Amino acid sequence: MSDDTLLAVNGLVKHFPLHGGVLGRQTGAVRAVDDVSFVVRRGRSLGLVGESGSGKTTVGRTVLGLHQKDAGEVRFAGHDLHALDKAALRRLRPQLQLVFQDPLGSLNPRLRVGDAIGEALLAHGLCPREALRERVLAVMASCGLGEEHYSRYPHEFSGGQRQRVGIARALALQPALIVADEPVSALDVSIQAQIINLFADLKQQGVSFLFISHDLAVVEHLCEDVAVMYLGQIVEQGSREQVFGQPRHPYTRALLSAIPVADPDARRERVVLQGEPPSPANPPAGCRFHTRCPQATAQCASVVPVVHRVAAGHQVRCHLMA
Amino acid sequence: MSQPLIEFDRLSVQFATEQGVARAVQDVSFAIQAGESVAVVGESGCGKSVTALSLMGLLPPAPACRLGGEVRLDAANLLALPPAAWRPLRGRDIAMVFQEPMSALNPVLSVGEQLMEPLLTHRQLSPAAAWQQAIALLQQVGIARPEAIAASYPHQLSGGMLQRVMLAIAISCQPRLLIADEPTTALDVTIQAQILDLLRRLQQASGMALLLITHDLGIVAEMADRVVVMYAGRVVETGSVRDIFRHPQHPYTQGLLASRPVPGRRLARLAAIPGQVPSPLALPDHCAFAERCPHARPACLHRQPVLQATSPTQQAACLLLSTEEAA
Amino acid sequence: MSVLSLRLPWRRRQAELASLASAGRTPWQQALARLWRNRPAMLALLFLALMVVACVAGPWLLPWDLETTDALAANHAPGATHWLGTDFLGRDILTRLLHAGRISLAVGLVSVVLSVVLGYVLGALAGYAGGWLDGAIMRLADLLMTIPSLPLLIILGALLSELQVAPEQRIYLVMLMLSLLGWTNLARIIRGQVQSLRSRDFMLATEVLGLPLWRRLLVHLLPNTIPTLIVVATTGVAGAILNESYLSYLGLGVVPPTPSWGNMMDTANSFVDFQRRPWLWMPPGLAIFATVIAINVLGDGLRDALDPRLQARGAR
Repeated sequence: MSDDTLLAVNGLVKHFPLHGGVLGRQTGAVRAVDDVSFVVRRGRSLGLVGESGSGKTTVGRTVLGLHQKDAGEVRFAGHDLHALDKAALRRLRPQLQLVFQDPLGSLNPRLRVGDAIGEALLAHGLCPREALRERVLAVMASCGLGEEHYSRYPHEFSGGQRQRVGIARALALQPALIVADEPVSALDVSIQAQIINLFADLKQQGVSFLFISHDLAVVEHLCEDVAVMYLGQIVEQGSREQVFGQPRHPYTRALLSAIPVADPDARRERVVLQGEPPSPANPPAGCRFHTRCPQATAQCASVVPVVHRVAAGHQVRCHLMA
Repeated sequence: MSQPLIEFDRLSVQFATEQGVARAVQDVSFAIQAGESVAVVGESGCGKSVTALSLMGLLPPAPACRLGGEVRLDAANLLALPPAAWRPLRGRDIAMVFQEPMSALNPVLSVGEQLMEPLLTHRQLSPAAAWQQAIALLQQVGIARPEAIAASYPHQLSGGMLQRVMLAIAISCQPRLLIADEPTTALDVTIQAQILDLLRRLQQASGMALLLITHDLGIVAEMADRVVVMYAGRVVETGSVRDIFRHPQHPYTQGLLASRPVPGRRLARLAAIPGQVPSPLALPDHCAFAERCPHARPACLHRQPVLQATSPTQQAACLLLSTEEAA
Repeated sequence: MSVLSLRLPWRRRQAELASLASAGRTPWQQALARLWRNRPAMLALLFLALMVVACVAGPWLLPWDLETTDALAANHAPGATHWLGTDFLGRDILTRLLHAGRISLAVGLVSVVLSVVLGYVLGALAGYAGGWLDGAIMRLADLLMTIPSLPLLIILGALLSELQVAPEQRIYLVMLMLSLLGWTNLARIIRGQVQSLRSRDFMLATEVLGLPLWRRLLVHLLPNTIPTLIVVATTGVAGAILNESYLSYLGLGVVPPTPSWGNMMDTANSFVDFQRRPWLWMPPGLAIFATVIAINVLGDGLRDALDPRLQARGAR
């Protein structure tokens, strides 16, 4: 593994038990994440794309240590994250931050935003109390918030401004990696562009992102590396040029062709997928995508595909690549 | 041009709130021809949904909500109708699908029962005939096992399936206009593709007009014949879909088109529109976009622009377009 | 089509507008402002304030003594000397009513304070700790809730009578009894709230930020339960006043000579008094009725004022 690896996820598995019956015995499990591996390099960003139920949010939460993993390994800056004791994990926290989808829900309604941004700095002893206000104002300024916003409450902000507050709170700790879970999908188009530009600025300053999104255009705009998830597994990953330019997996191709293009004259060769994604509690045998795949063969229904390297750094989990 | 199917004529909608009067829709005029697809685009709070609801008579009654202007169906003003006169129009002439199919369906009735309801009331079919028709409708919206789906309840179905059911209910009485308010916003992109596909096929087969409310310019480009761009309760630009995407005249339309990343064309930064949408409680008397507009001039802070033709098919409400001639 | 049951967009919009208009005020200040605009709640508060002042100050200002009997003035109807009349021992009804108000209100308040402390601590603990502790606390609450409270109170009241507890000490025991039965409701509500708050994004954020446990609890979690606490406690006072009056009416709560609104009403047991001397039982009855209604109106007002979108609009 090279030196610039910031986050390495290896064979990560996370199942949520399903309970049923009168006695609440375990009757099954939602296989939210099944054997997921990827790397986020320093100064680069990985976009994790997929539709709802693909497990992308669970990957993000498990990477942050908010869920216990069931198998595999999460190494962040050289530490095995799930092997750390509570105190060590807490010391590592400032390095690894999260930006939420719902900016209002992620802010305590009873805390002034200045205090919300500054409290973790104090708690970790990263800033003396006398210098706190200035430091917080500096972070707020870098996120496009003014001094007049310091003592306001979250409900007094618009959606875009709240997301700026959420980003400022994560940024105040000067993290190496920010996990951003659908950070713009709750915002209006014109405001989305403001926040996307803010993320681009932060990338310039050397922050790495694990950018979780269903919006392929935004991921292509912001992330050098891309991983496509389907039903708990990564089906294709590689550089942005590889995944968006030469998509190999049938699912990636269908996904890319399904995005409506804002051009009335665009040529549309759409692969319309049949049916709906199966439930992650009961994934299909063989290749998980075979039930909807336009190119599925008999082999796909029975044999689990392995990951094939189709080019340097370009991996596809599909029998067609063999 | 022939008599339009629907005509909004200087429609205005005001809501009385605790904080004052919110001007949700102001002076909105546009027409929908029979069989045409019109997309109303704008961000949340721009008045696009309220405009659509006024067409269904679904706005709250008088003290909470004041209406001005006219909304005409076949030249008859809908806003002047008593509430009882609305009911036959809904479903029969105009039908609507919503963003959240789950909350639009009754959880304690089976899908088939809800499909039969408009057939029994509007088309006075016998229950047996209505059931047959319901199955046929489900087939029409691309549902593979219509009998099984008709017997199931909303919570047993996925979002995409529910939206298909909503479409089946909407087209059940062969409406002349279908209003679709963000019909695919709650759906995944591969399911969205299915639903848009279906919507197009249904429209082609029945010849109904479509009023599509959306914030997604990609969907607009794919679905619409004509586009109405709304900002802060007003129409700022309208034109054919090609006009709007090729030669946007209003700075807001231009900003909106530039603020989405374009697949394959990678820019360092997006051309974001600065600032926030003004509150409908405190709309200025001048151009509401002036504070965010990169081309604003002093005159923009004094006058309210009106729609004017920039080409035979396109209109925009911007002072910059008129001052050039005047000055 | 079930069109009208939809969450229509202008509702959401109105909520957003409401929040725009209130710049720079704390959530508490906003709640107070909302309460201030709620006319029925403010009238109820005014009534309760007057009732408290009357009960506290009244007995000092009135010329009559609580205990002094006057055989010549027994069972007088309301008049110029005795405004609300006298009872069978010639004691002034108004004086007794106000004294009784002190007792009834104090029993209501104190027992609620006790049960709130108990219910809040146990509920928050169960909600936060989960596991076996949650199970144990909630099963205990279930147990107390399944026992019909009135028969239990009657048994306990009879026990107190059997043990010949002095009337002055008896009211404290009545308070304790009521609070030991009253905490379960609040505990359940607080537990549910703590559980839902814990899964909210902003609590998740405190974990990601690596905040210490005390801060996560005292700054982020518990303050968001206070509005519920206030509302439940307020309506709890009404319940406790009612419970006290049932008990005392049956002679099992506060017992004579200490007056309470409940035991003053037991004169209505006598058919003659019930029919001929309504001034004996109507004033305490009306006092209970009006006070309980006022507390409930105030509680509703507090709920509307404290529970705006802040809590209703959860994160998934």
